[in-house]
Amino acid sequence: MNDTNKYVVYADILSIFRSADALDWKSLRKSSVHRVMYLASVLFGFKFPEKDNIFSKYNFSIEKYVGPFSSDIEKGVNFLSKDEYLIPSGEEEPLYSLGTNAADQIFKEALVQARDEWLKLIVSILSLYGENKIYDFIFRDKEYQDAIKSNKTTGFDIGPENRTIQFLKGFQAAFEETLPQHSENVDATQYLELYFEYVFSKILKREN
Amino acid sequence: MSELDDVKKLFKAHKDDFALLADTERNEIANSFPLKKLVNIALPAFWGARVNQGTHFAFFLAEDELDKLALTEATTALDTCISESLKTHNCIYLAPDFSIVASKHLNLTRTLLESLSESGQIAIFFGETGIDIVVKGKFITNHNFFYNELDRAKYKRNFSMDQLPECLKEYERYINQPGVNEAFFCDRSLKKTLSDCPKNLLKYQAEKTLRDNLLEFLNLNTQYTFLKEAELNNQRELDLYTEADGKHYILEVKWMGRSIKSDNSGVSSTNYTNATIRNGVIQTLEYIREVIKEMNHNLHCGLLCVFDVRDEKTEIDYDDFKFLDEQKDLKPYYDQHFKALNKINLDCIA
Repeated sequence: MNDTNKYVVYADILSIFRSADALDWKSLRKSSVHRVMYLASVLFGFKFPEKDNIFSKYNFSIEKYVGPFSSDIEKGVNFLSKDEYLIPSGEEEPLYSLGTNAADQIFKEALVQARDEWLKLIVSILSLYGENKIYDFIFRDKEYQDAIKSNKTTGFDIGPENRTIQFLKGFQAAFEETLPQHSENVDATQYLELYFEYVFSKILKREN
Repeated sequence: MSELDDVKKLFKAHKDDFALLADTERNEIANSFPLKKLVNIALPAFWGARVNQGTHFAFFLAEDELDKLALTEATTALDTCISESLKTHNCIYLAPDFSIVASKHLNLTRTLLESLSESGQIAIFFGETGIDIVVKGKFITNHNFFYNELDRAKYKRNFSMDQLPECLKEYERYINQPGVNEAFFCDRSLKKTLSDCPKNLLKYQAEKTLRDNLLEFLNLNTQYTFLKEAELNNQRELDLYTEADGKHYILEVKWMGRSIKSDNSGVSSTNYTNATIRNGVIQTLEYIREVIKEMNHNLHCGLLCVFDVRDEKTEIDYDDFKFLDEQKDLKPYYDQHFKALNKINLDCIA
């Protein structure tokens, strides 16, 4: 990873923590950072189908035991903790919170507004359900499920035609077909919110 | 039927509720982030813990102060002053910091709540079946389109990780019931053709059947998502694993008893006994070591779950775990991360 990319990773990670902090979500586990970033990557093409995926640099590997894993994020969180941009607490699965060094200006030059806003949206949706549910969302994610079932070795498809986006498009089409009178008032962000509510209903009903 | 057909059904079932999406002004209030978070996280816990959910009451919040809601104060206020006020009043007007502005007792009806919500106050009504929001004279009864408080309450009643022993007791009852029990065992007609056949003769690939059945039960009856067959770095596979409240667990499944041969021609010569289970302990400890030491991941606990399908059941003889004396490198993992669960007794009832 070159220096520019490194700073983008740091900026992304801090963006997640700042977004969470602003929502009174004061600390996150490292595994949650991997998962938030994975969801941000895999869902990006639904909201921005015409754009290249700005999160494509995260090469998430398929680790069944912990979920999607990116060594860049792992190194990023470790670096940020070492220099007190993040403060870990607890031992077994430490919780990280913003440190004294993590002022808004830090890594600002690497922080692109589009990345920041997208991460904010994903964090705000997830915060409605709480950190412990992120695991359940990941293991019900279509692209994740597909990769696990087919024992993919090439990593996840985060392109605009990945399995999650295919399902979301079907979800949107089902809404438009069933409720045409309401669909013109629903934008991509609301479909995403509805999708998360739908998956959450499956979590509550203990369905996969 | 595909999942998307089910989604269409859900959309149809909630048709009226989705009208909210078209009602921009109400939608903005009902979907405002602080209100949604309050209604999604703090209030269900409060409502769920109420002893008498038949007693109705309502909170009121000013529409134009939603952005100022101090959500971190909500839980404390709900547990203290608000709970105290509910002993005498059923309508509580709250400031954004959740201090009480006013409280009174009214004969709460649907019409009254609709009317009270027309003057810039959002009414949050706690009824028998859950929490309703009333905005600008209209009930938003299924604010969460796909689930309701009953689903949430049911989920809460599912077993937590601390209750795993009780969950497995429940599971033991479940698998010894007619209609479920038959799935594990060879049928009577087949057993009659075999010599020296035990009463409890499991089908071929018993471990897989038992594991998959347990997996399904755990996913339906606990609060967690259990998964199977995660490959470790050394190519070996975990039976089951999950994450509960941020803590990782693995669950190794073993069984004691007899099964049939792959071609159904006789009873398999392998008799799974106490020695099998002791090997299972070592295997579980090796997995724990692999995850923690080689893969550098966290692991809270490795659990060993044993199905006792022997005709004559006795306590599992772990030989006081003396066999670990020769496995010094595994001992720390046994001390800190291992737990053998109570065995699950299974008998053929046919």
